[in-house]
Amino acid sequence: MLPLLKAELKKSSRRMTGNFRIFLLILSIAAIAVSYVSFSHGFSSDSGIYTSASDRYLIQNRLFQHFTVESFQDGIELLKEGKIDVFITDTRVFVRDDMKSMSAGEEMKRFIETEFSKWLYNKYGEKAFPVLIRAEYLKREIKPEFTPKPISAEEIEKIQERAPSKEKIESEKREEVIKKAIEQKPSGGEVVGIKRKGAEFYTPDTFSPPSLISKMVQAFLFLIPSFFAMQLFSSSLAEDVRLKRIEIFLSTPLGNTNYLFQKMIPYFTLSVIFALIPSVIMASKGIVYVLPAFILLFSAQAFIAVNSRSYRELTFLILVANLLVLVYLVIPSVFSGLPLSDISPITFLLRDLANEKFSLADFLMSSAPLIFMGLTLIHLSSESMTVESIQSYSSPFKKFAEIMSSSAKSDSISFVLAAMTVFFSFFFEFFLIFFSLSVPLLPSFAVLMLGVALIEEFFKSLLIYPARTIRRALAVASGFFLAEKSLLFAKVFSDYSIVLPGQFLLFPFLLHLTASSIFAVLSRKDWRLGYIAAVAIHFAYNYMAVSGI
Amino acid sequence: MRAMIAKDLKMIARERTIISAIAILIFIASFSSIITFGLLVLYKPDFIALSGVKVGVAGDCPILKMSGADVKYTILKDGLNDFYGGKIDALIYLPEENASSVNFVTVYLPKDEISGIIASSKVKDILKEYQERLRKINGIPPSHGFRFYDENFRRAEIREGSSITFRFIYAVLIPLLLITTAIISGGLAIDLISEEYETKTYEVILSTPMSSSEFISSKIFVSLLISSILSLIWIVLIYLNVGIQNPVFLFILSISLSMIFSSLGSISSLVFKDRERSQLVFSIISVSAVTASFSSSSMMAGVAARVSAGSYFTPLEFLAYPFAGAALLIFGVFLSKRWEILE
Repeated sequence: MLPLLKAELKKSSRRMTGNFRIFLLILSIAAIAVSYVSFSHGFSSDSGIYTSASDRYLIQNRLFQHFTVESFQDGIELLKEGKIDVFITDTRVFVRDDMKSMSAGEEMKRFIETEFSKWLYNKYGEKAFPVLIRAEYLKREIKPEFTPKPISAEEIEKIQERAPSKEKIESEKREEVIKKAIEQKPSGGEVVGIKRKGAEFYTPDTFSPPSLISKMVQAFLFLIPSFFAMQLFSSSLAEDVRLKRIEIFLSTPLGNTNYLFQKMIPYFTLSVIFALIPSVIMASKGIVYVLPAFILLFSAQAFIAVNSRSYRELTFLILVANLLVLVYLVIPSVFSGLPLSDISPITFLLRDLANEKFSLADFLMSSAPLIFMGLTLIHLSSESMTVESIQSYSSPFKKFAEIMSSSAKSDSISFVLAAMTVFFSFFFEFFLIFFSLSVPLLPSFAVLMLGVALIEEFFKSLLIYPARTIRRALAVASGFFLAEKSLLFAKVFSDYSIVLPGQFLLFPFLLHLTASSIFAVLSRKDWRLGYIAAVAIHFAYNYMAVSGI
Repeated sequence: MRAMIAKDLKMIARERTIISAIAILIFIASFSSIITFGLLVLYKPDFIALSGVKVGVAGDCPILKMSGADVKYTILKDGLNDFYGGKIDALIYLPEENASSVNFVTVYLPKDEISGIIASSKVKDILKEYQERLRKINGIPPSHGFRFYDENFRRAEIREGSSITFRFIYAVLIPLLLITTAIISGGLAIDLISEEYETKTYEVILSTPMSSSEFISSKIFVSLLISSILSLIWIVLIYLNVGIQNPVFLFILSISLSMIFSSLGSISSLVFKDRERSQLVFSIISVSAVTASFSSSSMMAGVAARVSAGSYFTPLEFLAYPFAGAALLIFGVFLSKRWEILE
């Protein structure tokens, strides 16, 4: 029934000989052991990054390499010469006005605070820590156009019930809470609370907003092992291309898509098994959250493997693609607490691991773009599997554009493809938002708006160019507009519609229609002229919409 | 050998492959600054410099209410109604204050709102002040009393968040760039060698006066040349952006690590002779090497951090990497000779 699948398994077992399997097993066990020891040892690359000196104290902190100096004058001299970053004497701490010394000063301040807390506890006990904090995060819907509804009496009662009072917490438990809170005071940047009866308690010094960063490592456990299966898949597919085996397959009645799927199934299954292992160990539904990512990653690897001109190019492009997708998946969780974090299904995985509640609809909306992009890439990979395309020396980027254009055979297909390209646009626009965070606000705004126009008009123009008619422009503009609007159902996208203007209905449609029509008309003379005109119109609209003009 | 190197370099230039490698490095540098931004928001929310958040205090707690709250409520219900109505961004609740004992305070913050993160910073300041007031009442020293000065004996203000940025740049970002360059170098060595094996051109090459050790050396040389260019680019970029204390040492460290990885890649290709298995083995080794390199200050990431930050490091810690790289390189070339004899 699946002849290629059988052949693929046979090929793998022939290559992965008994000896190689034993070697691989030993290597994998060694790698797991090394990784386990490294993780248990913790992150230590910043140990000894600062240098301190004192004529009175002995500093024992992993971030500092400490020296004892004879006199106050020696310490100040060393500090001025840049040989130490911080000098501490009696109740004075000296730093230089540069980044490293200031950073060392901050760590020294934190170290002093920790030591002071310990001293306070030893001398005064729990009396020295008269405030313990528990944070509760409540969802609220604030809509300025309506009068906010007052909260119900039952809800208030429930919230009040959850608030701990002194009577509810016995004295010995209180002492335990304080002791643990002091022990876990930040030293070197880590802020952690202590979990008890479902609540986390902090002292005012250790209190900070919630974070999923500590759980990020767990996300990698679900993703990284699968990359090995993906690598095997892309290698096998690329080998078929390099050794011209693919051309033989293409001459059989197997069919391009069928070939791709049969080739992918064993490796995809292996990835699922890899993700199932941590799911079972952690008793979580982890596999569900990573499946959309697998679909996108496998389809991206398929496209690159089919269209790369050499192994070198394959390796580099896969590295770039994997990095882009990994960042899109993992980085949003750094911003847990902000709606932007919900853009990735991995945030939901981390929330699940942290026993946080979330809506299924939000998770599905975060997965949909990945799945749609994956399906589009499968389609494009399948379309690119022609003898002419495989033998051509065009770059994979050029091939992407060519295949996209050649796929737009009719207006109705262009309509569907335009809807699909919205997900690619949002994927790249996500990186634009992040890049803009690194530069000053005003230029970043203009760059963001220009970037959005460049990306969206690029995808639309690929689909309009083959026909260059107003009818095609209408089909593409409508498809793009409808998909864009449907994304606004997802809270994460609607919250960011201010940045990526789309909260109105008529104006964005007119914008897409105008820009697309202008491209269709002007590209008859020169596509560059059409593209520049479409981008200019799109940019002007975005800029005016955001500036409120 | 020179012709082989020229051929490979020409192919790389023709495919513009190096552009994607540069893109990877710039990308890593960019997203790292995003994580730094995220961490800063997390640890010091007022970093994002947005103001206007309001914090309310509810309950029977006169001392807490003196500690900087914007709105004061007698009962929780009123405070929660204002919170849900958007009039305040955070609510601190203490049902009954006891100045001589522990007070369990509940803080209500909005979920999934940026104002919640900013408000938490203000809440922290209010509660720190409250803690100091209670300590004073109970005759406990409210703070440690240490003061900060600059080298000219003027009072210095320590900016919060600078250490996390500094440690991130020097102990995470720079080692990551170093490792990525080395992995690219190793992957490139595998591709250059296995492509010749798989397309059977290796046999043709050996029928010429070129020996297998010259063949392997030329492939390693190309991958090292590419990694040198990449290292130079990111070292110059970081030097111009944030500053590196020992750029030459860092460059040597980067090349040494690339030498280790490209030698490992070459050995893997020599042994397995196909890209699929060579890359798989190389990837498994790389992943464990990356995790291990961050686990100790004497491992690669720790040494790179201290070299680039201008901190103290011992000659042995530094020299271990060029020596290991050279040893592996010699071993790889020796292995290729042995292989030729065996074949």
